[in-house]
Amino acid sequence: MDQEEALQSLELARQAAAQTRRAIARSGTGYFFIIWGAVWFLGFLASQLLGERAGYVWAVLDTLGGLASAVVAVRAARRIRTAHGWRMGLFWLILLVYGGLQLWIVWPLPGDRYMMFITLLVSFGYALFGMWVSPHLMVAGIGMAALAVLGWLLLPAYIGYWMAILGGGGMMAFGTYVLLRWK
Amino acid sequence: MADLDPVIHQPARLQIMAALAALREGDSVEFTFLRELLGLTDGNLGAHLRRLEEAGYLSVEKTFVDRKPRTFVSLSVEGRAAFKRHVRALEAILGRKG
Repeated sequence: MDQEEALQSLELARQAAAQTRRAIARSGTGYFFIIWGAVWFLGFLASQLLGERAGYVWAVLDTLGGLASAVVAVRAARRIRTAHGWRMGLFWLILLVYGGLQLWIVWPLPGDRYMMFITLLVSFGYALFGMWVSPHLMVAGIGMAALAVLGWLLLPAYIGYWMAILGGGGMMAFGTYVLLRWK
Repeated sequence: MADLDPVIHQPARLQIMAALAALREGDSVEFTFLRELLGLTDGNLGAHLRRLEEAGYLSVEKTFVDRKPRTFVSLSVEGRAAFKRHVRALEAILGRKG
């Protein structure tokens, strides 16, 4: 085999590996970002417009988001099996429990600070999860946190609108991009 | 210098091995996922998978999902090692002068 043929073989292998990673990411990531982007968009709008009453809206949205995510995960598992699925679920459960305990300690929190707490907790989760699973998720987590902090500094009175449009809207846009372009 | 692996060397099998090597250890993909990813026919993919399985490079699990038969494929430990050796052999060719 000459060098040209060796180079072509290596490129073929590289492309197959890259296609696989994209296809796997697409099968879950795209849908998850759209689902939770929609939850954030509607939830943060509710927080901005309804104040403390938005808690009920968040509860319903999070439940629906969780159910939709479970459906996506089950469908993806028909084609891709991971030995790490239970660890992924455990990761988010532990984060939820720790977040809940912290909230319990610092409660009561004003509505805007509660929004920031949840946003930064979820962003932290994505960033850590991404270190393990996918650099794109890590970047998304860091990006979400940066966006939230920027909004807090620049427009604290309108943080709900800020997170709805840029956070929720951004996640939905990214998820749509993944589904359309990662083939 | 390591020799090229004659089983992996075939382009479709090289792609199959590279795709499966991109998975984390313990993860596997279903037959149709591979077929669509690589643009192969059922028969073509099946033949290549059999060849790789005979060489000991694949772990193949046949199961049922929603009462439909499904085949999940992953690299064996030997398969991962063989693929790495093959890639090193290709890289060694590139490193040759003249």
